[in-house]
Amino acid sequence: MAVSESSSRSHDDVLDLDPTRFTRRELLAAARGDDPDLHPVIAVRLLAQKRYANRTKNADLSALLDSDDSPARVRTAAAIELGRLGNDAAVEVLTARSKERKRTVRDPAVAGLRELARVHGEPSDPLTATVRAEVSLARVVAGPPTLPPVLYLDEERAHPITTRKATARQLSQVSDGVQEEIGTLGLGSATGREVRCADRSFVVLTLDELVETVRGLGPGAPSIAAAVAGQDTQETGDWDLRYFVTVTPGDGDVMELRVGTRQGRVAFAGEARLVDEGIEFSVRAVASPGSAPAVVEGRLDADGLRFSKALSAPDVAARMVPSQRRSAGR
Amino acid sequence: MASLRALAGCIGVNGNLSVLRDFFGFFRGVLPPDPTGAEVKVSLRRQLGLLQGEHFHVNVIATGVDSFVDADDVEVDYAIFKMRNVYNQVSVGVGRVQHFGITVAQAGGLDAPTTKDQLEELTENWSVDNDGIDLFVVHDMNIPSGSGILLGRSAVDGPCPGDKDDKGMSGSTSGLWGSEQTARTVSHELGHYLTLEHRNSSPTNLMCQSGSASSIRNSIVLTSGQGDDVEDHCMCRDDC
Repeated sequence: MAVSESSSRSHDDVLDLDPTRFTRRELLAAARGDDPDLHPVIAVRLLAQKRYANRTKNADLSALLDSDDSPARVRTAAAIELGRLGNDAAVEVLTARSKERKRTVRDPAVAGLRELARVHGEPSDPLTATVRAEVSLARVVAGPPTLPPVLYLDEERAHPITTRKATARQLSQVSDGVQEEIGTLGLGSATGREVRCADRSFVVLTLDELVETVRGLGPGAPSIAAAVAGQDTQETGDWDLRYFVTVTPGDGDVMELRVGTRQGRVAFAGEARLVDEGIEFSVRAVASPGSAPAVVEGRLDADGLRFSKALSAPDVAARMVPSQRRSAGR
Repeated sequence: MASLRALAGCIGVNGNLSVLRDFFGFFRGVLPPDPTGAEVKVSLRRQLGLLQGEHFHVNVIATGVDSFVDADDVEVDYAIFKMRNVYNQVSVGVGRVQHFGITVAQAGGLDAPTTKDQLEELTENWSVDNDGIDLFVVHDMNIPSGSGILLGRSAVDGPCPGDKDDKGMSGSTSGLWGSEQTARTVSHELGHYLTLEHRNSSPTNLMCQSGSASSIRNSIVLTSGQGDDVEDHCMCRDDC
């Protein structure tokens, strides 16, 4: 169902060094650029993974963030690791530094806070008073007031997207993969729906008691309706969170539905409507570079989530073209 | 042997050309230093020969280009130098290397990705409309992978010329990890694009993931079988 559904496969290059091979001092020295064989950003990652007292680790990472001698990417890496740690002291450091006048400290701290929100979620904010949502909800809902147009789908040329009830094993694996990000939201504790596009697999987890939640929302009050996890089918088999689905009631029966990434890019948009004892919905892919026309329609009620139509077309909106680059010496 | 100008024209490099900048594709127009201090040499004769056999073109896309400093460009140029040597082992040439940029503002956060799907999004949003492989060099990649770090990601058996606007990941990506590591990751990811799969049980092979490789500098071996697979990819051509 995702706009970014792929017909291609992808592989990674991963450096999985053992942090115990290095002492803390060696890693700190490498983070300062003193080890030609260990890149400073990788050293910061290893430092964060190394097992030693959190208090000292916080101090080490904070020192790297604050150091005028650290290159920007090392300061950013240190802030991101503080965000991933997410303990009180780390949050305190990042929050304080995010208010600094010096951009060399402020910008990395903001990156660290973004990572904190991504990994650990954030307490509710004014936009999301009804659920304890993470910052992604706010980003999706607070996205552009006027969305790009939806892509026209020629249903004659479209191919069906396969859907089925997710297996218990899949749900358990999904839960393991996305627990950190949706653990507090109450999503899909019992059921989920698998969606397969080409060789990609997604599982949609709807909010528990979504119908009741939506009935209780006032006009303009958004809620997370579902989360969509995607699987790395090529290598690890791991699941991670790809999209949030948000619902925002309007003045009448019709509610706005958005499917957006954690970074706030809206990929699908459409409508939902309360009917009888359930919700009927319809979403289409919105125009953006690299996206493909798609439509998903269905119903959620006591019997679970069902799709009545799920189609995607092979045509893709044109990608953006980067500018040619020449060195100043030319 | 065909002349330099004729072969440059064949790979789409025309006009008043600088050999190092335009023909060999070094962004800075000079040879990059080897991190060990070893002498860096390129052979015009070898390059002319390779271009008359199977070769592929590369578009280097500096992602977050306004953050790139000279040291980053040195790293990219060393990756280009090494890539030519790596693929020369199997008699495959690297032809035209052109440079492109996406600014921090244009990238909208994708110059500093912290999740894998952001790398996919990058190649889904951007592409150069030509017959080269899009290689996104991402300025501030910081993506955890277990207790380690993800160095790069690529489409496997990437799209052919003319198909780069198809669905899904359409290029290769690498972060900047110091000259030797960046060079290895760039060649490794291009190997994926050109159909090669991982070979983690062969620690000296280019397609062994860096975490299992015996040496970041020297684990760059390609077998003749891998060379055959690379030659069969639609991005490889022998039209000069």
